[in-house]
Amino acid sequence: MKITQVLALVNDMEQDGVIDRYAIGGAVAAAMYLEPIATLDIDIFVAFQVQENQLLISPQLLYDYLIPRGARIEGEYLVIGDWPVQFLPPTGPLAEDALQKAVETEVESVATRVFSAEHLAAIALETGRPKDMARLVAFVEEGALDSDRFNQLLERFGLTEKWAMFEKRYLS
Amino acid sequence: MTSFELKAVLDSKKRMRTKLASLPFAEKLRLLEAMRERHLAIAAGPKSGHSRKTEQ
Repeated sequence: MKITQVLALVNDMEQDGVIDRYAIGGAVAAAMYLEPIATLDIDIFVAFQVQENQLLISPQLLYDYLIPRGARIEGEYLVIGDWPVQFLPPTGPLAEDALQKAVETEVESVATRVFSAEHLAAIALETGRPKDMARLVAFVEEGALDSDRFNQLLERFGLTEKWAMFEKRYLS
Repeated sequence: MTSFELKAVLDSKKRMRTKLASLPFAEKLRLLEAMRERHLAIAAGPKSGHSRKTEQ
């Protein structure tokens, strides 16, 4: 199964009300703006429909929808076709903003949403693993960031100090 | 022509990255699929280097 088929299934899930809104993050999203870098999985950030009296968000809704459609569970992943997919709730205000402001696009006639370049770069800075730093360098070197929008995110989410350290270490 | 001059090599890599980055998203997703398939094939393949070493 191709990535676009996975996205079509996730669109169905959104239309059927299992999830509220979704957007692609991680390496697959970064590929929209940068050279594609090999990845083994797809990160999909989702907002869940929260029912009245429901305190916890359960992945059971996803399982109930996707397993009858051929997906299987492997550890933290739902494997759809050939692709392990990780469905992630936004883990903080920055990821929530990324999900709300994700870019609408279309791949082979399949509509989808992808985190903006600026949000991906800010999340990479916030997360701070070596591979995130490499991705952030790529965003800068490729000129893929709108500096005004990126600086606004840095200020809004308290990342200006981290950015100064990153600049000193990797860009000077 | 192939060059072994470091600056020329780095410049050429930069040009290749920019060229890849400018491809349509759908094309880049196809590349991701191809890279993943290759990675899985390599991971599943025989560890020929290791077995040769242990035979000696």
